[in-house]
Amino acid sequence: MFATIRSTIAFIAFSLATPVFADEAVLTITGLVASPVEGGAWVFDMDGLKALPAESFETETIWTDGPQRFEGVPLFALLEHVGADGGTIRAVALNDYAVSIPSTDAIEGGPIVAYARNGDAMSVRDKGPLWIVYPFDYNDTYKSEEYYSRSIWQLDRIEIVPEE
Amino acid sequence: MGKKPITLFAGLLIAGLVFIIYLGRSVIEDLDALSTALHDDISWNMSQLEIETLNLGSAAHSATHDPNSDLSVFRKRYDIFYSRVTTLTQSAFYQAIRDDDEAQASLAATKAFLDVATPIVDSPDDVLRAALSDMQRQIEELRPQVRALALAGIKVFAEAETERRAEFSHTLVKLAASVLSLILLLLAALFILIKLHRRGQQVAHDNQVVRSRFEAAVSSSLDAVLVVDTNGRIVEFNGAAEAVFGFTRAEALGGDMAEMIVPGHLRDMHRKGMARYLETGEQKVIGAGRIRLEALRKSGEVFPVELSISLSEADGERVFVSFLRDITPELEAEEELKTARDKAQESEKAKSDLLTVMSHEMRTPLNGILGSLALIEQDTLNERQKRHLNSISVSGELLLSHVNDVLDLSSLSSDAAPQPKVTFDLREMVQQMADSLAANAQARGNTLTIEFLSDDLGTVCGAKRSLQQCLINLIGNAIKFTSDGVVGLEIERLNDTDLVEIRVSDTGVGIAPENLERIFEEFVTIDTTYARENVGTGLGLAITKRLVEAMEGEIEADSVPGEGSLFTLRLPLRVDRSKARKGGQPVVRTPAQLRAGNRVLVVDDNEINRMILIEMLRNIGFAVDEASDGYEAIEAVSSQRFDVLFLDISMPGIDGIETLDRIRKLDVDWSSLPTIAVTAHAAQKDHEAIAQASFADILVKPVRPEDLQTKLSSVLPSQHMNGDDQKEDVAENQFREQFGEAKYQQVLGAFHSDLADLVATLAGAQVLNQDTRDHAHKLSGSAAVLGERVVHGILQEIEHCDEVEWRDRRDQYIRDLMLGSD
Repeated sequence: MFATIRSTIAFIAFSLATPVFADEAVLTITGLVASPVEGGAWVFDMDGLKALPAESFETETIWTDGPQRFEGVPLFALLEHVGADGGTIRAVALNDYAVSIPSTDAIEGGPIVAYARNGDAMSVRDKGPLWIVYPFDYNDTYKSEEYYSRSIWQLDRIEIVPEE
Repeated sequence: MGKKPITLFAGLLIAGLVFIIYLGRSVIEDLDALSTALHDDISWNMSQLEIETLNLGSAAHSATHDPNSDLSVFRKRYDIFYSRVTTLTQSAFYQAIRDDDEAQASLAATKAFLDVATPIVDSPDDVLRAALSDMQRQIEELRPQVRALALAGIKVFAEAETERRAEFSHTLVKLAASVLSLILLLLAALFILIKLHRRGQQVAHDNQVVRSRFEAAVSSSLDAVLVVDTNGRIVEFNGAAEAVFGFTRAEALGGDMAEMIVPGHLRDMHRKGMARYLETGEQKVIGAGRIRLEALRKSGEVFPVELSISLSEADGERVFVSFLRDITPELEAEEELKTARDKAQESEKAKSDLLTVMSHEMRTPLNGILGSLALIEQDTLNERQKRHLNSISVSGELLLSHVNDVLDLSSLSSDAAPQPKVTFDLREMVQQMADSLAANAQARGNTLTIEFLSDDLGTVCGAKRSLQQCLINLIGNAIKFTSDGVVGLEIERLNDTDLVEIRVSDTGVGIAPENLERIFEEFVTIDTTYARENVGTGLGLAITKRLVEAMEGEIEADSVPGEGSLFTLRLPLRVDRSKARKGGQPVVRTPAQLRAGNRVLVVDDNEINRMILIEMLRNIGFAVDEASDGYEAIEAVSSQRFDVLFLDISMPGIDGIETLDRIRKLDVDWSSLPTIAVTAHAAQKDHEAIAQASFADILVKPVRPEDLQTKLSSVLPSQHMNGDDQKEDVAENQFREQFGEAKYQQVLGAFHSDLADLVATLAGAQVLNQDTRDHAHKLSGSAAVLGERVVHGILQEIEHCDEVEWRDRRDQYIRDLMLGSD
């Protein structure tokens, strides 16, 4: 057991050595959104996201050990920024895992698109670079399978589709 | 059904509810846990790990075969694979898998791969590219391990799920059981409630029945029934009440009872009583049973009622229930009965009075007849005249005895004081009586036998005269109704008690059973066949019964017609242990020698009576003067000295008692002269009146010569007189015969001088000492021998009397002794 934990810590320390570059595109938003300046799709790099309103909270998750501090853009603020109004959020991960999040989830005090955990940027090995995290410890409603499934990590792109 | 089952039931119900709430909570918690889904989709994640391994292998393959390929794709695949493994190793949720033996081996192999591969992946492209084919081979080798890991994970979580499900289903079973028991409990409750309800219905029904019965009773009651509340308002008024009071029920209900039916003069008392009860709870009339009061009718008529009030409580409210009855007719009937009774009593008394007065008035003429007969010189008459005279005498005596019977009865009927108890010798008394009746018995050919069956029949204490009279009546009757038979007298003390039983039996005609009850009633003569032969007033047994009752004894009669009768007397006659006492009754004295030449005054308004008494006194040798009324007597006594005065009690003008009073006040030396009352009044109360006046003695008419002498000897100092009537004493005669006259006179002289000494001693003795008693004893012996019976008796009394008696009777004793030895 001890051995396991020790090797895990060493493993994490190692993995953190792989950074995500700031100018690299990390999130693409398409679908029912306002037309971006470049046209076509909203593409954010880390700096672009960090320029948006930020929020942070501490919570435990079922995938991590102990309380974690997440920092990121509130989902509602991000959608507002891209001019999405209603519809269903279809989030897709790097491994093409996809999930539908009703836009009603995007509220104040709701989920954020986290770009930092415990003050550090998250690598892909560490479920980064982006992770939609609900404040599980603040609202018991979020502690259910439904919301766990919406907590998508290695978030790669978002498409706003008409409401199902 | 008390409170206990309900409490128990409520307790069970609450306990059941608490248990179910507890179980419910645990179910909710379990459901919550299920929905909270502390786990991710295990199968998905485990299979994703396998897929990422394949993806990684595929990326490695592509990169290996194209030397110019972009290695970032491979790196990205590697990072995703890496993050999958990290999740498996980091999340607390996968601890169970990490603990599984099989999974551990696979996990260790996977981590070993990462440990080797990561530095290479993170190296520059050329290094990575060089190692790619080797890495591809390693990934191929890793695939079975990852698959095993996924399978182990699924197995572990399947087990955990099974456990959770089992737990949950266990909770559900418990919940179901609880719900079931709660339902059973509720069913039981329902059952109990139904029972209670039924019982309640039964009770309500019973109450209804009782109530309707009560209402029926009230409305059909013959008595007026009023129910009044504590404010005095009438709440119930039945039909009988309507009839009695004249109000209709509608008028009465709600009305003020005090105003409506309580008469004005009682209203205040009623209100006070009510107020007092309400304030203090003190009950006077309530529950006191039937009482008589007055009530008021609607018409204003006040009438008598009998009522009872009881207190009743209904629904916590007190009411007074009154039962009333108009008792006007009863009272009228009662009054009539009373009047009738009073009238009857009055007329009865008048009859009795008339009889008494008649009898009384008859004694005076009888006195004349019998007195005159006694005075007739029979020697000068011829045989025929003597026979007629005898007839007159017998008829006169018979008439006198009848008159006496009537007077005896009336004196017993009145509330005369019972005869005083005295000490006397029962044996002697019975014997004397038998002796006196022996001649009578013989005359009818009867034998009279006496048997004393106990020893304790000597000196007893009782009403001697009454007993004597009873025995005379009973024995007299026995003799009267028996001829040529036996009259028996048996006397026996019952088991050493105070009771003495005296049985008078005869072998006479007997009494029929149907008459046995009646014979003790007044004026009853049974056998008409014998009525002619056996004359009588029919009062004898009535008098006897009354006398026996006065003595606190009882008498009963038993008889077989034709064989004889038996009368049984039971009387308390206590044995007197102070044997020597001769008794309170004056000792029978030998008539003293009366001094001739004494001067006597006879006062009587009846000339014949006066004449007879004068004749008798002159025969004895007195000088006699006469007076016809009180005034004459006073005049005579005030002018002349008399030694004795005979004073008739009932006289016109002033009566004997008043006359004597005045004589006593006369200023003459002889104003205290001995006076003998002469009366026809035989009644006890007359005797009391006479005893209270200062008479020396009393003489009851008709006067007999022997009575006259006895009385005289008791009031006059005795002296030898002509002595024609003096009965010689037996003892005296014996002494004289034995020792001669000279010796007798000598001894007598010595005795008298000795006696004088004793008298002197006694006169100075406040207290009797033993010497004096001995002296008296010695002299009493001498007196007996010398035939001085009077002195003997007195001395015996002195010898045995106690201090109190001595103090009371000393003077009397001394006087008697001086008199007796004169």
